[in-house]
Amino acid sequence: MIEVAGEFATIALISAIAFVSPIIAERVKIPAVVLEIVLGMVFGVSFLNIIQESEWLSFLSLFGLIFLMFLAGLEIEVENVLRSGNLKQIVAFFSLSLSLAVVFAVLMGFDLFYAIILTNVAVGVVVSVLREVGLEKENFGQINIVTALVSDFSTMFLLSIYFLTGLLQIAFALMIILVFYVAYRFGKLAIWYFPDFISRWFSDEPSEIGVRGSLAIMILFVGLSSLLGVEAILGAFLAGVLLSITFRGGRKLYDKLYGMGFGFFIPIFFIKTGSELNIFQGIERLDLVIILLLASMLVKIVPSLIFSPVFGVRKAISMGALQSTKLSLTVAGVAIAMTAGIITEIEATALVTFTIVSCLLSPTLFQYLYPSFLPNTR
Amino acid sequence: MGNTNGINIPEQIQPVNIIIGSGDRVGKIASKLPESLIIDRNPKSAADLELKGFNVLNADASNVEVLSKFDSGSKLILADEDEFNLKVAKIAKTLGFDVFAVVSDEEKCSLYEIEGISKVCSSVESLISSVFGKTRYLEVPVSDEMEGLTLREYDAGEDCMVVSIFREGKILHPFPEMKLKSGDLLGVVCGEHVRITKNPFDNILLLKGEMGEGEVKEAEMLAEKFSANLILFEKVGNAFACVLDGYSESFNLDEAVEMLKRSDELDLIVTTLKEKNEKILKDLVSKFPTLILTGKGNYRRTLALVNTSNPDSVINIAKAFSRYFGGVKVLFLEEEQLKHFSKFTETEMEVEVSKGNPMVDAVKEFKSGYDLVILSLSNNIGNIDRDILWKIILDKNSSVLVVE
Repeated sequence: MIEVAGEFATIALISAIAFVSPIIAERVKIPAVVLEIVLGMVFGVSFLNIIQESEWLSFLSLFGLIFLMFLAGLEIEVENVLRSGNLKQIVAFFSLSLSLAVVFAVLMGFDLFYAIILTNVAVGVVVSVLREVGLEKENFGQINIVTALVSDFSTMFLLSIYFLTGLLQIAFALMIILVFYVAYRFGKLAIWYFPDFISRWFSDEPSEIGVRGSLAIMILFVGLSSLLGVEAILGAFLAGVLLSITFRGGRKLYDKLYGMGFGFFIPIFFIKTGSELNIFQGIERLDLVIILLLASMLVKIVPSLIFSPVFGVRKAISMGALQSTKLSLTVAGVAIAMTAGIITEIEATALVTFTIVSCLLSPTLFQYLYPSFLPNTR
Repeated sequence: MGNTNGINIPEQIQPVNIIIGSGDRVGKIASKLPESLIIDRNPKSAADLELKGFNVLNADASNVEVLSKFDSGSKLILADEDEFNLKVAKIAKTLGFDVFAVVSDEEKCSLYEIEGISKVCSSVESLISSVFGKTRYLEVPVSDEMEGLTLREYDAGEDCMVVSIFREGKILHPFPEMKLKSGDLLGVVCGEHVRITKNPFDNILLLKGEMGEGEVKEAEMLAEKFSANLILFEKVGNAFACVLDGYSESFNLDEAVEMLKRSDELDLIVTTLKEKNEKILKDLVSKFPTLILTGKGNYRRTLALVNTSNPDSVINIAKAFSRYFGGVKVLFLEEEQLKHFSKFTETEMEVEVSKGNPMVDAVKEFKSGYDLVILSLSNNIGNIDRDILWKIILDKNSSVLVVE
């Protein structure tokens, strides 16, 4: 009984942190996610050691991670990517970025997992920064967003299949892609033949059939991933993409899902991740943090020069700086890699420290480099 | 007041507009047109108009000597009885006047057209807009005789529509069943863009490939309803034969459509489409709105899907179909598009906004059964999947009018 009460107390504390984090983050002008990780550290093993490990907490945190990946998939707008007139340059940017990251990892003797992390970008932060400076609707902003979407989707996919071992597992992974395709075709047929039923998903029915249906699809894909031996996050991500490309809209339903995810489950994941990190171990590997920061800039700024004929050199470099921003997927990847034994706990701490510094440093560097953002600042 | 018994017209009278007719209608026209002279054959009416401050000549305009006294650069507006107007029109054309007419009996419009009159209008408001040749705002007082008429019954003319009603110091939004009261002031807008919403099609090109009898009948029904000419363009071997005014010649389709576009001869293409062909439809729609026929005998229910960021083309055509067929529903796919709601005056159209998923709502509405669907090929609002859009276009249960 006392144990259960302790678990409730921990969850109550985490809920309180989740509640105050965005309020404080707004005042100190940093992303709320960063503050959630930092506060997790304060209440975790690094300092106060109040947040204790429990089955409940682990489940809620895992569910938060799954929800995060599901919502990341939901954010992908394939149509935008395909419509972009600079698709070739965007693909070239990603390929070069990944190649440089692989070369870096090999030269440094790191696991290839590092290459994926270095190629990733936090789409949410990129969009937020571009919105803040009023560039999100301009050509520069649109190319940045589409580039970030392509990088995020690709690294997400690479990260998921990276943890697979053996041909059979890869074949199973491909099976989930097949299921995804079949579900997509089925979804389109359902819209055409049963529009009355599908429209209920997006209505204000008290039974919230849309939320139930979306969560069922998410959990179905997660379950299927587990059955096929694929990472649960790939299933969740594909479920999100499936809803996004099949329904292509329906803000009301998406807002409800965002409310559930970002209002409860996802903060638990970030706070718990923070609580497990020992910042002193991270400081011990300060050299690794600095190397990763430099490498993350390099693997993005060099390929960004592809865009210099379009925007000029300075703007292209500023794009590279912005594209080097890391956040949620990196933290998620670190959590999985640590569980899978690919990285040590010290490395994990260093990687999360690098992530936090990156999501503060990269947008700042972008704002410094972008030549005329100030007049447009809202 | 001048008198033409001796045909003695002062030299200084060379008006910009010459209005021929009697009574209040002529006074209404003269009050809207600057530098006007009224030629009234009725001495009593002429005297009354002069008392009201108009520039009036009491004369019989069907006497060739009367009109020949004026410079043919003046615009001649015929607002008398139709038979008299037609008589004057013949003389006026020989003297080289630019002639406009307000008809009393619309069935006689064709007689005016034979006389080669520049513009035949059914109301004073549309006549004024024709004379000015651009968009014009007028305020028309409601007289005792008009009391009790609904807006639907009130004929503002082919080029004009009521956009507001001023009543007892308030501005009211017009709707078809609104009853007029004596003393109301009608805000009326006239212009070419209004005409498009009333009668958008003068010439319709029928692209006749492998087409059934039902589809041809549908095209004929449409042409008859809009009083439009149906130009037949039939596929003969690899070429097309265009039949226009009884003259037939072989053309390449692109050349012919381009030629018709240049000569401003066409308003609508009607054809059939057996399978998805994005290029052909895009080519046609880029030139003219294109109706894909399915053999409908009438358009009892029409759905206008506003799936474009530039909705005027969809809305204007929907308004025209509402006027001639009724039963039009407009489905906006985004709430922001509601700002176009103010364009729905005078017409009785049901308007709805998608509240959930725009694509699903569009399919759901389409599936509820429509004879005609109006949509845009640009498809940049509502995120309707291209495959779904084509399913709607190719569906055999509804004809589809596609605009750019």
